[in-house]
Amino acid sequence: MEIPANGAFSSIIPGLQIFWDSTSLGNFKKCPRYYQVVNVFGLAGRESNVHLKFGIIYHAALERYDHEKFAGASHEDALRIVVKWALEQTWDSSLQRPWITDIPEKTRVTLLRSIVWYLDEFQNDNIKTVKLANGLPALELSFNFQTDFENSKGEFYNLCGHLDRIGELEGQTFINDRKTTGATLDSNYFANFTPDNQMSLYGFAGQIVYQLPVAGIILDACQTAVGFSRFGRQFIPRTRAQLEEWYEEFQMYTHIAEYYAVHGHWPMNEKACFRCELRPICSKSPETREQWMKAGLVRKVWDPTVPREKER
Amino acid sequence: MANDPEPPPAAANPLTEATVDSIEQIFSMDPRDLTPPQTDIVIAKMREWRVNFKKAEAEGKITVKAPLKSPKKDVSDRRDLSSLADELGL
Repeated sequence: MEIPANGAFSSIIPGLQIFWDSTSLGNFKKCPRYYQVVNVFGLAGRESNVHLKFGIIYHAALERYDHEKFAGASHEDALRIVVKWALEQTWDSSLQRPWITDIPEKTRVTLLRSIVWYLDEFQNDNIKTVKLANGLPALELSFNFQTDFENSKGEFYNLCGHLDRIGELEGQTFINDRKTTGATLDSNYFANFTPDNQMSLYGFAGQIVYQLPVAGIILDACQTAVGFSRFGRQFIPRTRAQLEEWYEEFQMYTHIAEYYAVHGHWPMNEKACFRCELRPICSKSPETREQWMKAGLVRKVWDPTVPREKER
Repeated sequence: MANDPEPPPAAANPLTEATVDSIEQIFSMDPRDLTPPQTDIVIAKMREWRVNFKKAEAEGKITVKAPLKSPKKDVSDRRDLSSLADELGL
């Protein structure tokens, strides 16, 4: 299978990622084979595009609202701007028709509903967006920093990603992250985030990149169902020692990734196959898998060095 | 004095601007042409759904699925790895 061009990967060792974000690192930790298909080969299931688009517009809409509010707009004015924008983002101008999906929980209507309900729910939010030293609001912050670790060819690994918002609550600084999910928002759902690769990276980035005394992450989750959207907010703490542990283990994972890339072989983790979208591919005999991948997956190169605006 | 003639029905007047005021119609039109009142209709409809949902939830018509509970484990025969290794002759 051909490896497509991807700015996040080494130019010396084919298939070795240098710029890691939480998505790619999480995929690698979940299953090296899954990571190979999704991140190295740049392939994805057709359904994943719907989830990605839904999540991107949801995040961007809330970010727009935060910008409007930070600039002094009222709740109603900011909401009106965001709703019109979200409708435009889900309109296919060339076909003159709305965005159509085959996932009943992830449609244009459920997206608009989730945005309006979330913003109404938190319109009197106690979390205030931090003002950065340059006067700008700490919203949708892209980070990309070089780590202390390098591969055998002397290329330094980087960690990158996007923080939704850095906010203040009762004198403490938090990273505010928003998620959409189909899961019920009970204690089991929130327990999934400790330990969690993405939350640890965000906590690490907040402390190291922005030099802020980040107390942890405040997670705003949105359960999206066919007939309703429900919200839950939970504090996800991280100590400095936990973040250092995560960082040291990141180095170990990069060593393993280099080993697999050099050998051109990314083993399966069969214990991660439950509900995996790639199970239909991985369950086939190895000599036929490339054909199945070509037939069942679409090209979707994930390059974490590309700013989020350009992904849309 | 003659009465004023009755005005023609609005629908019969081709110069009268058609009004788009249902959410179905608004969702099927190009959003670049949306007027602020039409955007407000979308927001109002979403809010109406939210009120209905909260009411239904409060009345117990929508229930949150209870988290799955695993059966209590019997820990009386818990063995550590060394005793297990001995048992297996490792």
